[in-house]
Amino acid sequence: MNDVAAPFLATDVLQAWTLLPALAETQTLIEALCGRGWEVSRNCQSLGEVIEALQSTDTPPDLLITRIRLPDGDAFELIRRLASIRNAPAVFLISRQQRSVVKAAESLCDAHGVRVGGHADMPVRLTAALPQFDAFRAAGCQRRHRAQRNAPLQAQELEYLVDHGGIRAFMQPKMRLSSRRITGFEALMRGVGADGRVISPILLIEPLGNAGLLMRATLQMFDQTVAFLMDCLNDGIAVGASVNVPLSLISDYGFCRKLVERVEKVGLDPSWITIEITEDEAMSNPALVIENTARIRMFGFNLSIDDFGTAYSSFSQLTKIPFSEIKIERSFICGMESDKSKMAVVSACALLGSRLGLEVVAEGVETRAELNAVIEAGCSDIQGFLISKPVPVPEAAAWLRSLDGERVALADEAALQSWIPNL
Amino acid sequence: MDSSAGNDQPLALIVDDNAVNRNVTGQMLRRLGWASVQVESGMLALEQLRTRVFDMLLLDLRMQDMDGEETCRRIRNDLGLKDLTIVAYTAHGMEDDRERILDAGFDRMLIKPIFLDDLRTLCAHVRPTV
Repeated sequence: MNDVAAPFLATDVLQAWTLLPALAETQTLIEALCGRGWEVSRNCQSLGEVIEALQSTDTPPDLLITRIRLPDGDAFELIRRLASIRNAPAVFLISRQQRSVVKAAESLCDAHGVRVGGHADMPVRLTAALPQFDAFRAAGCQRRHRAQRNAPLQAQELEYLVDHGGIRAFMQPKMRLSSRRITGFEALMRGVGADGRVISPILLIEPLGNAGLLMRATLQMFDQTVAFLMDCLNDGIAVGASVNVPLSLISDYGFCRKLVERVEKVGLDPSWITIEITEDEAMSNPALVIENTARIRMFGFNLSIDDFGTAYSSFSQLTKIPFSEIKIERSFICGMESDKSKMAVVSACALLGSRLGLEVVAEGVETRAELNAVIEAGCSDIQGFLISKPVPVPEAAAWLRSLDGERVALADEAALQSWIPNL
Repeated sequence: MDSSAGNDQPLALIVDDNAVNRNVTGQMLRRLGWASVQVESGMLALEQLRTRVFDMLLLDLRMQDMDGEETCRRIRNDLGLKDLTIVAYTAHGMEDDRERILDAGFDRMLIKPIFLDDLRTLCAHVRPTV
């Protein structure tokens, strides 16, 4: 993969402002930051002052270090007002509030699209706070370099990719927890430029939609997925695969017919293919979604609800849409072993899914601790870097054949024995 | 297609009008120590069953000429094969029809697509010694 981050440049200096009225450690903190590649260019004393300053500057800071309680308001109001400011800084929260209040402030940032730089409890301990500033600075520098390198693709560049086989399905395997066997793959869209550079989906999917090329690109993904499956099945390896399809395309009868024609042409039973739609789309217009998802099932494809947990599912709608699988969004899986609320959400999703007769896939499983936690929560399958990152089709095909009976050998087998029967 | 062999090797009949499915199911059964005969319709299945003894029948419910339920009824009633294990496989979401399917004479129901683990469990149930 060529989309690795640019090397960290020590000469990059990030700008911070503070909003830390009456905080005893302010000066110590500022001095520590100045020695670590930060420039603290403004110290504000009130919410009103910081908003006014942000509205009148052409060079807003990268980070705003703020208390949660402020003399003329609080960080919640600040976050809301930051959302309407162009190039608003990320926020670093300093408070003596209970953890749930800090988490709520971070969630509000997410909801408003304001980035979170970190948080520290009062009194501020530099040993806990400074690593967070360092991490933010490193990520910020990478983001700058990436932004310079990954300028948005122009319409003709996108067209070139679509016309010349530059849209590629990268395959990420899915493992059944009860047997540790690979039962499927998710096809994830990547662009591969003429120079071999891999283009991330963030730079592809929305721009392809804007350029009117998403249907062609999705069909190319589908074709590659079908070819991959036929190759596996003809070799006696029973695996399925899923393809992400936006609701706008599923709602197009002509598009659905094209999917059917493609599987019929090669004689592939459509039940080997799962169409994934995102939860927020699935929960949008009920009548439209039910009509179109039912049609997908009528044609024999399976149907999965992706990013489960991120939108606002209605229980009644879940029972009306003929899903065969739910995929729990990675943000719930990340670090869930040490987060009781995430554990509760994932367990509840798993229970709901299994009672509805659905497979429940945990996405983004990266560590053994997360693996143990999703098993405990009752998920049926996992996907994530612990098994494999998404890889090009030939690599996925070779990897699958290298396994012993499609079974994944995880290091430290003994730790799993209590959970997984040795089939 | 016939991949049957030795005397004590269990034998399955796979009935599916999709060639890719017949092939992959046959290959998986072979990995599990079973032999199989594969046919593409209910009529051909009846012909096979008149001539040889099978340990298990895997039957796709959604076939063009004679559907799975009708095929199963004829096997039970016309051929009188009351003890043969007959397994239906069908699309996801037909759990509500499970009772009706079992009433048609099937012993078990599998949801498509069928993976190796599904067959392993099934085979262990039908012929535990293999």
